[in-house]
Amino acid sequence: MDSPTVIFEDYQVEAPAEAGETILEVANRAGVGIATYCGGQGTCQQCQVVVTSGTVQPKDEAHWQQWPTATGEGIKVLACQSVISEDITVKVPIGSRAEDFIIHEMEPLKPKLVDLSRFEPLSPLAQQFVLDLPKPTLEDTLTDMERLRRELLNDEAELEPLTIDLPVLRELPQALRENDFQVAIAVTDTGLARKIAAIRPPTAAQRSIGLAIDVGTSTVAVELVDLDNGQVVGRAIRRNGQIAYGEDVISRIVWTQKGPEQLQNMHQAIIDTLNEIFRYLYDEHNAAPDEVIAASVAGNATMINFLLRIDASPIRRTPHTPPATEMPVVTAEQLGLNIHPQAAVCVCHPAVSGFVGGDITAGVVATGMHEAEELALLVDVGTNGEIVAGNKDWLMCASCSAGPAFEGVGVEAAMPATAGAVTNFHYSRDRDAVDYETIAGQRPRGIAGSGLVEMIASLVEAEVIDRTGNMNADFPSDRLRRSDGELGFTLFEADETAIGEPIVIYQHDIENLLRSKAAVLAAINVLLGKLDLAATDVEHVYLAGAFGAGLNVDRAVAIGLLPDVPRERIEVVGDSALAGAYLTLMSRQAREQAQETVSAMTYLDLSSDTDFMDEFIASNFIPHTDLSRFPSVDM
Amino acid sequence: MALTAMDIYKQLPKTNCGDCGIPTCLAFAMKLAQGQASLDECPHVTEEATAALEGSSAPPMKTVTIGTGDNALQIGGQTVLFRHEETFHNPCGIAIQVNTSLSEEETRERITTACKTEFDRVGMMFDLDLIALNDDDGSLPQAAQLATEVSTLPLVLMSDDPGSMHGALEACGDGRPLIYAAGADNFDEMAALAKEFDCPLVIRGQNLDELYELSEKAGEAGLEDLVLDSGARELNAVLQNQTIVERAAINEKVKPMGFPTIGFTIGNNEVEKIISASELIAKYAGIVVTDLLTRNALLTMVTARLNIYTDPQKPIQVESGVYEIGEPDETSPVLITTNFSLTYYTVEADTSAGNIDAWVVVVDTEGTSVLTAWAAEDFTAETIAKTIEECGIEEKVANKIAVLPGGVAVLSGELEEASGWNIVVGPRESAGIPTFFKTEYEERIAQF
Amino acid sequence: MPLTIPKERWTAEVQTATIGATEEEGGTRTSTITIGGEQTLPFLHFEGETPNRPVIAMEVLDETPTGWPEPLARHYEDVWDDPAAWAQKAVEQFGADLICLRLVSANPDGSNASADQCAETIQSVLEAVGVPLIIWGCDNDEKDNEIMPFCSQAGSGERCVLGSATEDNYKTICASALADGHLIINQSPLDINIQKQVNILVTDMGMDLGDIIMYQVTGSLGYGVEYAYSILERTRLAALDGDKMLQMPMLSIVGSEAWRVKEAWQPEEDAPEWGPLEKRGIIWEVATATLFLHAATDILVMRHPEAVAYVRDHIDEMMSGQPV
Repeated sequence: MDSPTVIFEDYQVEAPAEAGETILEVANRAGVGIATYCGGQGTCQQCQVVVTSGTVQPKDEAHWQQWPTATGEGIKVLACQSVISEDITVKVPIGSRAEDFIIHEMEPLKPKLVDLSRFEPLSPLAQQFVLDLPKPTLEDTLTDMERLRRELLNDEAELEPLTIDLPVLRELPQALRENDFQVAIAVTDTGLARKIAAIRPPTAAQRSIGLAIDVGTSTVAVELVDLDNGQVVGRAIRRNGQIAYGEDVISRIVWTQKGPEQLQNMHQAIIDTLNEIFRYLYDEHNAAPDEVIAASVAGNATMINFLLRIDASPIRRTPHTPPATEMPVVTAEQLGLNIHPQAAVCVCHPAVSGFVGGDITAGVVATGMHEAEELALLVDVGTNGEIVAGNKDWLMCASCSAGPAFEGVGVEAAMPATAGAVTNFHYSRDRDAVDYETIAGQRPRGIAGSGLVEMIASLVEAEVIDRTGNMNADFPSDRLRRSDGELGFTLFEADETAIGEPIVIYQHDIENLLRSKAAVLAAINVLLGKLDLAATDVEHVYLAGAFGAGLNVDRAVAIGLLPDVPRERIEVVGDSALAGAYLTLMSRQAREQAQETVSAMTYLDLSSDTDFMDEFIASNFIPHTDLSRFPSVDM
Repeated sequence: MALTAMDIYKQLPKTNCGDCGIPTCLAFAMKLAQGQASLDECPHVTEEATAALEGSSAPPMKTVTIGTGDNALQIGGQTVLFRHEETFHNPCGIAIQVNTSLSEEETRERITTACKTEFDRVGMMFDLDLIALNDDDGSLPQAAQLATEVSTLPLVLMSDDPGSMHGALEACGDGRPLIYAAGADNFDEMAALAKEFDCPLVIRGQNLDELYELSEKAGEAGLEDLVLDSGARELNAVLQNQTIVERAAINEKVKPMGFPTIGFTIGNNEVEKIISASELIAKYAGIVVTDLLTRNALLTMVTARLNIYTDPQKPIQVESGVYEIGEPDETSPVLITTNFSLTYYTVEADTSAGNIDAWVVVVDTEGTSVLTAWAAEDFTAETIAKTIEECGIEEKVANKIAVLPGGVAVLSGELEEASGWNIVVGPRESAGIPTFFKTEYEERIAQF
Repeated sequence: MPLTIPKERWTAEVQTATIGATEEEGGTRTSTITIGGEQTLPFLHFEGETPNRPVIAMEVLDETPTGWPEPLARHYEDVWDDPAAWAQKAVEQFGADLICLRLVSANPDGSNASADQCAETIQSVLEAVGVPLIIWGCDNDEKDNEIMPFCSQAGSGERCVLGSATEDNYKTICASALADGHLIINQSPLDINIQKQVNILVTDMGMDLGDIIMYQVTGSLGYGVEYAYSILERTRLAALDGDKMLQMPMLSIVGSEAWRVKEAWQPEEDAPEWGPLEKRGIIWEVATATLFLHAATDILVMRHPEAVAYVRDHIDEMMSGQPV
């Protein structure tokens, strides 16, 4: 019998399945994101899908009893509990879609963040040298290794100390002789030592490529970089495949605590995600895995631990200390990454603590705030919000659990900043109409982070919601409707959207978003408060993370996501972690700075800080209960 | 003015060497600013820095010990004027006054009663701290002799007569009683006794100025363990003096004021004295001396002290156990949540708002919310199962079905196994409770 | 002078609020009450003025209370079926500065009295006494929103205080107060920030800062004082430091809270370690009131006449003190 096929009708995806697989497993493989936060145990009930044709079998009778249920369109089941035995068609309703896992090209990083001139002369993580070695003779009896050393160090004395690992040494005699002692040698700079990483025929070595990688909790971004000149050949992002095991780091840690197999799954999910992005980049930019001789990775402590398949559970427990902050340099082969097997995979940015990871220290290096006189603030709004304040004399950081609301997770109407996402939003009370812009000018599919900020500001202004975020039940518009007892405000009617359903913001969505912004603002205020500083003392605010360049900073202040400082001081910098990874890929100086930055960083633990809870509640208001701190905001 | 962390940081080496045991100089500076570290923990600090920072790191109020052994009482050591900034330390001592003119039998009974008085509150026992022997007939030495035999509590010896005091101190041996008091008239004698017997000494002024002068003099005489009495015997003056002494000590670091205080319950009857005691407990007294010995009065004073000396920064918690919302019966649903009061009261409010009669099983998570507790492994299948077992909910309902917060849906499988209950995953947000019960609950439990 | 008196330089003072309107002011009250205006923490005469003394409101329920312990019940048995007579007794015999009328009968889970019935009660109490009135709903949001416009109207022009507005339910009561010229009580669950949120929300609706009184669900000795004391103190500190949105006078409900706890009502045979019942509840109420007074409460809502007398004497004593 042919293997059955699953058609995900609203994604126009047709995926082959093995008999015995669940819908969830097929969906994950096919890049159809179905929401789950129990990791497929059948407990969270999030992954409800509708089978519109064909039938499925129960995975576990116990969980099957309440499902399936009939709906107008078909049979509603839990994707994780439904085993495929024949061809089926599946509809993933809004509310069950995680996000689409399709790979996207991404916008270039801000030039200021990736300015290599700060770090000249360049010294990439791996360098390639094309050598024409004198062949051994009775007079010149040096060993192969010494022969290599002599030639390399003759040109590049600073490569000392130069070492070699066993797998490369094993290849060495053959490689030299096969190529008549004309070889291209890749040398990795791993801190104290240099290592011979790859020996290749010179003809194959047209390019030496490196990868800058940001492993985010929600999304993974990769840049393909020409190591000779630092030029970025291509860049792409994708959802982190680990989302199937939980939306935030804690859920994922909990999943891995179930056993070594689960940790392996988690590890494999990020390796698979990376390899898929690599494959895409290779295809798009005509590159080969063997050309890639180094990778610099930035990520939060949990992501890095999972990447290296290290038990991350200590991060979950008080005092939230990760197993290690500095990670060993490993080879691609050890991880199963589809690049040159001996390429160094280096976590150049160590973590500060369990919840302030290398992604943040990468951001510090990229913004250069650690070298500046003026006081700067780096605010990275992701699933975790991380804050760094400081200047050349001191650096202090903290993290808060912001939740993924602004990243488009947990808010039904929200989505990542991809085609069809609403980025600008204004509701006019007088006209009862919405003015908006979407990415690529398509009909709205959902609201991006920047659109959510404008939406909140606009709804407060129009008095659809009050300053605590409560919807005004008496608001005179048909857009305000009650569904299942909860108030919702229809932003776009079904006939205006690309998804054939209305886009509605519910009361609890507003609460989620407010909590997110409150956590970020509270973290900022508490951190500054510890040093008796006011927000107005800050000369630069770098906003990194979920928000696109289109974010209206004025609105971000108006809702109290950011403190009230002169707007020209606020700069949206995008993926500063990726920028940091790029810089450390290209420069030893940047790598050294990354180390120094971490040792100079003071970590403030907000989870045990009583001021934080207070500030959090004060910030759970638009913009803040202390209006005197928002003099420029008039609502 | 206290130095800020940044002021202190500027004086430190800024090498982040970690030799002080703290990772960075800034973190060390913050600890110094909060009085949680001392400058000598940094091996690299310069002399200039030490000079510049000295004083800002010394504790503003002395901690004084009265008595010895297990029942010794520590008072003072406050670092803030307002308890929300940091908790008040060393709960004030309650001293029961016993006049020396009482008969031996009465004295014995009064002391025994005071020593045995204790109250059970929030599962802990709270008792009284001192016996204050008031020399109203010159027989303090004999009373002290008796008290050392009868009392398990340390003593306060109250007499203006140095001769009487000397005899009493001899009777006390090395019991380290508190000497009350050195005033302008008997200062030299009393100070000498305090030195001779190595006992803490109360300095009593007729007013604040005299108090300051005498305390300064005591300091010059090398006495370190002092307790202050501003002499005020009228409730508003007591309040003002207590506030001034405490502010001078903590805000201004005025050294002669940097000691705990002693106060007396004033009034014509029990209730008036309770008012006076409440004021003293709230307003910084290190020791409250009272002649009240009724259970009513002592219960109230001990409770007031417990309240004022509870750390208000600790998250407000509800007690773990079963709570009723509306009028639940054996068919009513069982909700599970944590003991952070905001979490519990939100659940309570949302459930009542939906007119749902329900049982709520509250798990002790040390006052953290559902997700925080889960993240920190305080809200796990094991802790929930244990609470379910111990709280007695099983006897209250017919079916073992409980609703778990949706945010921790992941625990449901383990919890079913650990508790033997059927678990229904509820909404993620408490606000969803009414809808959940209206639309989903019945359908979900039909399976069991 | 050897000791320099350490004085704080407060930058602001507490908002003043006047409750009740006399005939000249469009009402029928024979007296009004002004609270607030403090320039320092409670009773620190060496540092600043305390122009208005804290006041005591006595509680009147609009239906016969049940389960009151004898030492309390004996003072009210003769009047507790009639709110007007009860209010009269509280004012004339016990010296209440104002009356806090709690409309418990409106609760849908209880007698479910109608808005008209509540309004009638209010009128009868207003007629029976000349002191100002606090009108408190039944603590059921939906029902309060239903009755409050009528209750408010019943006292129109009298500058009553309407209680209470919360973060999630403030619009109806605030609109009523605005329409009929009353003050409003803003309530928060022991949270200074939520208190502030309610204050901002009602001022956004047009409420005057001088027409707001704050109530932070303060609880009683042993049950809430540990948090409430500091919440009150912090709020007052913020007020004196210039935070406009926390400068309103504060109210504490002492009577019903103190008498609710078992220390106040459990008979001696069930709790011998607590001593005789006769005075226990009074002492509990007095100690609670004293602590809240020193934490900066401006209106104490009390129950037992003896407790009221003691606390009033204490306020007298604190107010008559001289700067040291």
